[in-house]
Amino acid sequence: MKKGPIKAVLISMYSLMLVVCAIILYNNYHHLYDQVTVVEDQAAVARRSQLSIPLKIEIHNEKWGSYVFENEEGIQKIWKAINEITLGPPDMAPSYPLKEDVKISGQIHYINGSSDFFEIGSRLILNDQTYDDNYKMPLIDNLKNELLSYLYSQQRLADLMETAVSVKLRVGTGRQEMVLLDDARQKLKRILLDSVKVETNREVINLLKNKGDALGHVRIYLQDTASVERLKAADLVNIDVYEDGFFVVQYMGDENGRHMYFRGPLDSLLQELEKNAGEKRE
Amino acid sequence: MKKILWSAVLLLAFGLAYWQWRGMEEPVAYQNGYPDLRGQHIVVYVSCRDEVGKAFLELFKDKTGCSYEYLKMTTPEALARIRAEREHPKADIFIGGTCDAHILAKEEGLIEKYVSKNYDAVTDRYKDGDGYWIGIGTSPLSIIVNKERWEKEYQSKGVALPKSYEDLLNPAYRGEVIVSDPNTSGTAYTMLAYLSQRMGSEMTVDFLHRLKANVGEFTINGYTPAQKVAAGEYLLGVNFLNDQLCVLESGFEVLTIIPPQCGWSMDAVSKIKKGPDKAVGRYFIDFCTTKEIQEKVSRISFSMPIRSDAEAGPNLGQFDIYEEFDFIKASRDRARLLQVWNDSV
Repeated sequence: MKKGPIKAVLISMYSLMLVVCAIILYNNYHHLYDQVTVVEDQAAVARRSQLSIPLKIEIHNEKWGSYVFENEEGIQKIWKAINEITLGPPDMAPSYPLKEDVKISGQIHYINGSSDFFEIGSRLILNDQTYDDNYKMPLIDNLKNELLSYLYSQQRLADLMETAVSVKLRVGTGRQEMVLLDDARQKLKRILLDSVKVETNREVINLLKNKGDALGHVRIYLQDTASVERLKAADLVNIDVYEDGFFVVQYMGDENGRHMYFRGPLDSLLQELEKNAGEKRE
Repeated sequence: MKKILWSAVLLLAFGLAYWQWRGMEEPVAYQNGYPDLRGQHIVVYVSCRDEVGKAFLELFKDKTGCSYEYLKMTTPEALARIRAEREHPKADIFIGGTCDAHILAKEEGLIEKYVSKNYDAVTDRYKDGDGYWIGIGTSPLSIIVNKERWEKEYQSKGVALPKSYEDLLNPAYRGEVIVSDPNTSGTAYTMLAYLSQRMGSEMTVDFLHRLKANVGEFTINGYTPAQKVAAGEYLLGVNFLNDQLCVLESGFEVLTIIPPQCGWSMDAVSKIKKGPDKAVGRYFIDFCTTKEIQEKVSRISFSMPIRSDAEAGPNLGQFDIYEEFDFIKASRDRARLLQVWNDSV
């Protein structure tokens, strides 16, 4: 074999290998891109870790009270969501007051003793910075709803029996409302306290598929209807009571129309109250 | 020299085969008519009511074993997000959201073609002719009235119940009407596009000016007007009937009035182009359009199924819809109509 062709073969093979390597490199880069986190040097990481280990998150809503996150999973979930929203530069704070029926304020406490204040409604304010661009709105909305779901606890619902201006019961499709007095409110409170929140989507969907018409509805008024021109949706909590100890709570101020599902013998109480009311009428 | 050429061709062939192999989907086994997708995961952007999105996903998980995560947002927010993630999509599926958004996504190359196995069973007007999106449920734009407030405050004054959208312009309703904002709500954009197509541009501008005088609040979400009217915060509102049936089911005394030749829309589902999981999204689209799932979800969503062989949920009948409503035009007119809205309102 002559020297020329061997040289050509080697050059061709070498070039081909280069092309193949380039293809593999491109392919790997393409698949890994946007999934790799580049970390800073050791000192920067140490500095950041000191600052950014949240120990406790407290949240508060005027109507739904407070909740404290102390378990790591819950803290990390909220912390991650806030970080995602606050990634990138803040937005200009609006110069006009926003119409926000539901607002949650909170404080993040860090391991080094420092803390951050935040407020979330139709925007997120972290300390003095506002975040509300269109891309982040769904994240803000989701976080607000996530936080609200922690406030919608059995304990808080039960507390409403003490603080609500009035609690009324509406049975069937009739317009007649029964005002629940102290005794009935205490019974309702106990049932709400002992109820179990249905957390799995699977069970929720099964309940929704199989439920019939509601037996009745409990309305919790957070504002005195006589003192205001008209009732605001944010001042009303509705509970739909179904058979088999299943009830659905809806805070009418929740703009996403979120429903919360519980198991507890509210149907029995409703029947008892209806029976008592019937006897009194007779 | 020939050997070199052959080697090059062989290597190229191997390269292409490897490339192809990476894009191939593994065959899936079927159990009880549903694909076995255990160990697979789907990411979904949901623009319908939370319960409806959850119903589709939970039933999918139940039947196929596929895990899921979803982000709930309004239609324009979902579209903006998919647009922003065009190069590196984070979700496989866009579900819910009025279909003009899916048409826009198709025109912008954000979603990919997939002709569902159930394509032929779906009525023509409820699917894209090219297979880019397919409907999951339809609903008319209805007027909701708080009955108690109506009887107490308006009936005695001799004010008639509204029968058409134009009746909402009655000065007697000043500050008492609640509608959503088309900049953030697909419901409101459907209303705007419908008015524009039915009345023409000039009359729409006039309508919006007069409507503004009566509107007490523009909401972010399309669902909110039903809630606020149900509570009595406002007297009247406009949104989709399925949202209104939700509050009706909760025992609120509301009237739902569907005007003749009413505006309407359908929620659709489409597969996001270059989404993280290629195959699972297609199975999900097939799943959403089966007769069984259409009937099950209709009971939760209160929407009309998109298959003529599927039975609708309770309280749903036939409606006198504006048949000429052109979704493609609605989608193409979006920027112009939003400008008209923002200038008028």
